[in-house]
Amino acid sequence: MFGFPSEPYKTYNRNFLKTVIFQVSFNNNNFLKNKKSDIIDLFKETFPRYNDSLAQGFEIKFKNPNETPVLQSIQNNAGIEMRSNDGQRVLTINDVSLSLTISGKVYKNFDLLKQDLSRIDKFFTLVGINKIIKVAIRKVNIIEFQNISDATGVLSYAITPELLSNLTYFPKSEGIKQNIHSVSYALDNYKLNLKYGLILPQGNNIGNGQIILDIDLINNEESNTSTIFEKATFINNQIFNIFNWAISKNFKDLLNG
Amino acid sequence: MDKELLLESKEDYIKAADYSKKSEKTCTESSRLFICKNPNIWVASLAAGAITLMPAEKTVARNFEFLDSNDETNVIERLMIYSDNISSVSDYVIELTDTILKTNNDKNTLVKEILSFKSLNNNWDGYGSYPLEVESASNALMLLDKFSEEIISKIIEVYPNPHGTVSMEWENSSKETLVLEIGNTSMSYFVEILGKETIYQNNKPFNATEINKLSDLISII
Repeated sequence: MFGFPSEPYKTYNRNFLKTVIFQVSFNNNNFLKNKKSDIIDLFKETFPRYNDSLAQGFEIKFKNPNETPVLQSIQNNAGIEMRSNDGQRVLTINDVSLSLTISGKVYKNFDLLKQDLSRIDKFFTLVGINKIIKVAIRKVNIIEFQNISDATGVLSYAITPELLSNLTYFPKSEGIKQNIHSVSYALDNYKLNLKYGLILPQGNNIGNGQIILDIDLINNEESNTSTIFEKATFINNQIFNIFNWAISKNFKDLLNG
Repeated sequence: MDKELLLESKEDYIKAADYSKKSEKTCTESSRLFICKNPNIWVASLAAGAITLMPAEKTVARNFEFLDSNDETNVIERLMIYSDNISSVSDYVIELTDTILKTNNDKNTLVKEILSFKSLNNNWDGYGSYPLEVESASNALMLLDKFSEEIISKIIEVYPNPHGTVSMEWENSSKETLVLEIGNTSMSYFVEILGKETIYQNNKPFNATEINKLSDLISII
């Protein structure tokens, strides 16, 4: 699709995933106010901790130019937030999307995600939705390391050198506190946001630094709800290809551990 | 934005909303900034300033729409499209820190904060309070040493209590809470988790078993 080399999909023995987010979007049909309790019943076996999620914002109102406008905060129910017993998986549902966020601590492979969403077809039947407009998966990998004098060396260990060709060009690279790159693709009905690089704690070098590899792949094609897992599997495989392309050989050996 | 809602409204208003941080900040998509064709300079300035009123780490305004109710045709001209796909690195780092890493603070900052409570005078709250007791401070620092960095990073508040103890709080976006009070010889805490009864643990000793139990409860918040 984007030309990244394909590799046979596999699950590494270790991962540095911080969070995995799956999201599917659909057109608003205002189902939430009437179907909230039914939705909770549908998912509460897997996500027994549930609450309303709040929209936060503010509005400025004025009726005519001669009056002082009123600035006030608004808090409306924006959806449902449901958590697994261990709090490591969070399902968020509102009128336009369903998102599942899984902590890297418990994410083993894509099957776990599909397992958590095994009732998604029943959800769509319940709320009367048969078309989706977006499927997306985002995987954020974060490697923490104790801050050392030349963190760019650590970055080179994890990320393939071709992606970091500018590193040696900067003088006094030991002084670099942040080195984040952002690349976006848009091809056909797919959008890819790739962010990678280095963040170091500010100030007096106390604390951990982080190497980031953040891959966010989105399909924006309208399709039937029945295609969700087919699309999600394809996206997941593409993310795997991109991940393998982006990391160094040393790092692959570390993941195979 | 719900265009029907906007069209129904007869009032001039600017609405900025960040819907449910988790669902909004997962996958990026374009955001649009609309400004009326003939903006009132004061209002336009207010809108621009309003973005900076809210701390970036708490609210990111995604959509602005401005309707001039004096103009019956509801003229909205798109002046700028800014795509989250190429948002600034600083915005990304803030999002990463606030939403994904959730680093409220670090151990060093908390240690300083706890030590600062020792310098409070008697009656610091005006109602006969005591400054933080040495043993309580020592126990709090010991706990910070035992807690993982992830647990420490999620502490939302540390504060002294009038009777010489110190408290720490954790809270998640579902408003589930754990509040811990650390005293001279024991600790007490309660945990509020959705769908379950509140758990109260009083006068627990500072031993490995109880600290591990506490850590496990904090990690599910």
